[in-house]
Order: sequence, then C-alpha cells, then structure tokens
Amino acid sequence: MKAIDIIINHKGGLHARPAGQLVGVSGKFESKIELEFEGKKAAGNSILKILSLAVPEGATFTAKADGPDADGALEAIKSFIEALD
Amino acid sequence: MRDFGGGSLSENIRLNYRLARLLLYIRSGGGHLKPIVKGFATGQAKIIKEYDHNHEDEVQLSPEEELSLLQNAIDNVDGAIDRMIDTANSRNDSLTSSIMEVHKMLLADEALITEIEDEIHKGHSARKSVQNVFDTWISTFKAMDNDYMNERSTDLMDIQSGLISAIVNPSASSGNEGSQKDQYPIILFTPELTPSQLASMNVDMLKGIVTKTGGETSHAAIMCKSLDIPMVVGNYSDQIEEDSRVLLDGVTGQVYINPHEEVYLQFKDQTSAYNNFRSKLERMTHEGLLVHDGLQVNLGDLDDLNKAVEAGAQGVGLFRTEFLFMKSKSVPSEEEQYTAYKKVLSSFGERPVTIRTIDIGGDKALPYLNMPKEENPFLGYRAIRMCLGSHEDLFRDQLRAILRASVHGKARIMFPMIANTQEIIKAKEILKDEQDKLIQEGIAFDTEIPVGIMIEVPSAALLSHHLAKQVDFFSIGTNDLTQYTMAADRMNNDVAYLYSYFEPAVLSLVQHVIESAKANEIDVSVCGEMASDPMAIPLLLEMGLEKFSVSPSRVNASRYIYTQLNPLKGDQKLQLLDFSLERKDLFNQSEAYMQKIFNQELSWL
Repeated sequence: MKAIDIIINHKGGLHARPAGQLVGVSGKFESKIELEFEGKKAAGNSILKILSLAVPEGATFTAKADGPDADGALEAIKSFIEALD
Repeated sequence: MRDFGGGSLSENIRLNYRLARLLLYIRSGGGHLKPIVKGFATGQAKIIKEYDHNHEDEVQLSPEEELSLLQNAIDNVDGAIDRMIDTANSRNDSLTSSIMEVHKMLLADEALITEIEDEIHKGHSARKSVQNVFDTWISTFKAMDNDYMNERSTDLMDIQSGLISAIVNPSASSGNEGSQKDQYPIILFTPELTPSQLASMNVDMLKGIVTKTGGETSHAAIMCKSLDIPMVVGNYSDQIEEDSRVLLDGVTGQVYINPHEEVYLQFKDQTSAYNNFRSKLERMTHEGLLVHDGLQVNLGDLDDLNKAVEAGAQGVGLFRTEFLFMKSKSVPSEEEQYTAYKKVLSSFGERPVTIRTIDIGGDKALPYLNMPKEENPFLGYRAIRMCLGSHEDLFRDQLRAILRASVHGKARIMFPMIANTQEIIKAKEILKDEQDKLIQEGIAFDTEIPVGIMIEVPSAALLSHHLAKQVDFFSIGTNDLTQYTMAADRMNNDVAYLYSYFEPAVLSLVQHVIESAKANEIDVSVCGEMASDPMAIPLLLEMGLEKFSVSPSRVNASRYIYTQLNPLKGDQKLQLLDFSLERKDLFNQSEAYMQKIFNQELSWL
C-alpha cells in the first residue's frame, strides 16, 4: 500500500466534473485506489463516494493505492489534480 | 392550441365561472414566492406530483427477476440521458449536457449499483432497494455543510425517480415526462426542478417555473438563467389544477392562478413593458461604447475578461490581481504577471485599466507566503502593509510587471488599504525606484502612468483632502470602508444590522472623499457594491460623483439609471444628503425619489 498527500487548488474543490474524471484516471490502473479526507474514505472508482468526501478548494487529501502499479497510479492522480485549472 | 391573448367566448365564460375563486395568490409564509430568475410568463399549469414515498411494495418477484428489472431500468434511464444529451447538444446547451454527463456517471457508479443489488439479495424489491439506497445517499448530501453538495442531492433524486418509474413501468421510455410534445405555453409546477425534467421539456414552450425548493446555486436555477426562463421558489398550493391559466411574475415572485381578465390584461401590459425595457437595456451595451459616461467595470479574473470587454464599459475601474496569486502554487513570476496584465491592457486598448496591487494577507492567506495567523486579520498585516514590509520583493516584481505591460494600453496603478500619507510616499518611492531601474535597463514603460489609492480605511477618508495632493486618483472601496467605519464585520450576521453604506457616517466620509478629489482636481470613482445599487446611485450623483466601477452584469442597469438621473437639475433633484437623518430615512427618501422617476422599472433594475 502506497500513499501520498495531494492539495487541490481547483475552484470548488473536488466537485462533480473533476470527481468523474478522477474515476476515469483511477480506472486506468490495476491497483485498488482509495481516497481519504478528514477520516472519511472513498473508493477511487466511485464518483458518488468521492463527491461525498466534499473536499473543498485548498484542502489536502490522501490518495492510497494497493497493487502492482501503485506508484504510477498515485503519480497520475497527483498530476491530474494539479493540472486542473 | 389555446389562445390566451384572444380571449375567446368559451374562454371568457370559463374564466367568469371561476370568478368565485379568482386571484388565488400563492403565498409562502405570508409573502410572495421567492423570485430566482427575473421575467414575466403566461401559460398553462403543468403539475408534477410529489413522488409518494409511502407507496406499498407491489408483487414481489425473485431476486434474479428483480435484478433484471433493475438492469433494465438502468439501461432505460441511461438511454434517456443519452437522448437528453443529444437534445441539449442540438440546441448548443452545453450546460445541460454537462450536467447530464454527471448523471450518466452517477448511474454507472459501481459502488452505488452494488449497494442496490445487495438490498435486492436481502429480499427487497428492485423499486424498494433503489428507493432506500438513494434515500440514504440523498440525506447524506443534504446533511453536508456545503451548498454545492446539498444541491447534488437533487441530481440523485432525479436519477432515483427516473429509475423508479422505469422499474414500475418498464415499457415506457423512462426519464422522460413526455413533455417534448407540449405545443402550448407551459408554466411548470414541480416540487423540485430536476435537470432531467428540464432537459426533457420542449423548452420553446416552457415559459416559467415554480418550484417548492431550490436555491440560486442549484443546477436548475443556473439552467433557467441561461435559458432565460423566469423561475420562482416557494411553497405553492397543491390545489392548483392541471391546465389552469397561470401568470408568473418573476420580478416580485407573484403567481396568479386563473386570474380575472383585467388582471391578465394588466399583466400583459407589464410583460411587454418589461420586454421593451430589457431590449432597451441591451441596446445600451452597444451605444455605451460611444458615450463617455464614466461607467467602468470591475475585473477579478481573466476568465471574465470577455464579459468585461463586451459589457461596453469605459475601462476597468478595479482590476483585482489576487487571482494570479491565489491560483498559483508559488509567487507568480514577473513574466507570468506581465503576460496577464498585457492581455487585459491590450483588450481594453485606449480605455484605462486600473490595476490594484496585491490585496492579500490576513483573511486571504496564501500558503506559500508563510504569513502568521492573526487574531484580527481585517485589522492586520495585509495588502500594502505587507508590501511595504516583509514582502517588498513581491511588490517590486508586481510593479515591474505592471510597468512593462503599461506600453500595451492605458494602465493605472492603485495601492490598496492606504491608511496615511507615509504609506503613499513609501509606495511611490519603491515605484520610482523600479521605474529608474527599467530606464537603466532600457525597458520601455509608460512614464506618465497615473498612480492612485483605494480609499477604504476611515483614516484615509478623513484625511483625503491631504492625501489628494499625493496621488492622481482615488477609488472608494465602499465595502471595506463601511465595515471599518462601522466596526462591523460584514460576514458576521450578528452585527449585520450595522453594516450599511446608507449609514450617515459612511455617506459623509464618501462625500468628503469626493469633495477632496474635486477640490484637488483629481479623478475619483466608487468601485464597491454601492456603485451599482439603484438606491445609492442618486446619493452618489448628488455628491458629485462622475465615475462608477461596477461588475460586468450591472453595467447596463447602472448606465440606465445614470443616464436617466444625470440630466435632472434643480427642483427635479431632491435634497438627499441630510446626514442628520437616520439611515432608514436616508434610504427611504432615496427609494421614494427613484420610485418617482423610474416607476415600475425600478424593480427591474
């Protein structure tokens, strides 16, 4: 299991559109992806659960990956979040 | 097709028959419904009934059969969403299609589907399982302390009701209320307007919307705004009958059901007056570029640049540069800033752009600036204070970027939060120093660049007659000036009763600043919310203010008020500036004055 912290500076935080796109990014990897914010957890393949974390703009959440391509998955998620404008 | 305008004989008889229950106002808590999207609409009521959650379970099938019912329903709703996306795309409605794309993703959510399937395996029907699982998620989102997330419960309700009707009636094309066929004008009454209701309607015939819940930030409200469909929200009566004749006033929030013909005729006049008024305002956008009326626009983000340019203003009265710093993970380089300033300056060409140096710190902290947390951020280390202190380098970079960009248009530099003369002198020294460096480096800039200050700290307002000798212009920031003068945090509801720029103390400071500027022949404008408040404009005009800076969406209305009021002279003007009066009297006096001049147009402004 690998984990990294990611800051989201995107306006409105992790709202519907980025949450949906994040599911798409997670889906490209074999590893099991999980996000964690303020003690709440969400599977990386569920837009509903990611939305329910309600990660606001400027907050830091944790992304975890378990599997053969965990490093790549976390890197991809981090760059996806940072590339949101 | 029914012809509302004609008033046929049978129609009149029917109306007369209904005279007994004439003019059934629908009221919420003793008032009108809350107007969300302005406008006037006439049509026939189309009522969407509240979904009955107490509905008993029907015949129970085996889990396998229930699972296949569920799968079928999911496919149906998914297909319906696809059709809605197509329809939305065909009318270039990207907002609706992006919302429907989110619905599509939610419907495909594995975690959600698994939860429903688990319920079915426990022996519940597909309908009951969909209801329970969605209800839980809906209440989760409703309980969140975040307007945006609260509104997502509407999206879930929308999908839930689509799925349930597809399960109950598998043969029907689900997710579609069948309204595409509506051929006469409709006023829709729905407990909660869902995006798919809107997407499945014939929007050409959808003239108005009445809902029980839904705020300004709901998807539905945003869509109604973009489609220009009047919308009101409130607890309407469940007694309203389908096909009743409805008049909807999206300005006051009044809804008339089966009104008397006289009411209808009056309403019709008002509708055409409103529509004429709207087109008159729109024409002013184009004419606005030709007149020199001192109306400027506020700009806070490059995303709004086109809107600001197209608003037809005489330049930018306030360009807030904070967004450059907020959006970035580290201090934006001189080059990045130069590019942004150049873009804005060249977009406005010969029209001046007033660039305010960074107004940050305290409450608007930036992680990369390592600012200490403060007890009292609004009275703390922010804006020009940190630029003249620990963050002089950042200030110098910004000034260099503005100076370099100044050759691409008509730039003006403005310092925020100035409290005394010393701060102006120090800021100007630094500016002079950067100008000298640029000259040495042989880099071109506008050597005549005007330098001004925000007047938002009461001490600066009080001494404005002295400060005016140091600068080329003043811009009065009425939002902060009000909160500092009244010592009332405008975000704090408990002291909100004090926060008003109609307070005589605030007004007399504003007047003093305007007079100081005029006496010293420097430029002065107001850039806070006050500048576009219809009730405040006559006061500002009477103080002699000639320049207003407002948000792009307020340009037309403000220009209209300004052009109507400005030629008024002598006895047409009222003595509005008697500061021995109380604030509510000052306001009422101004409102009565505006009412006299604008009549019903006042509520449309």
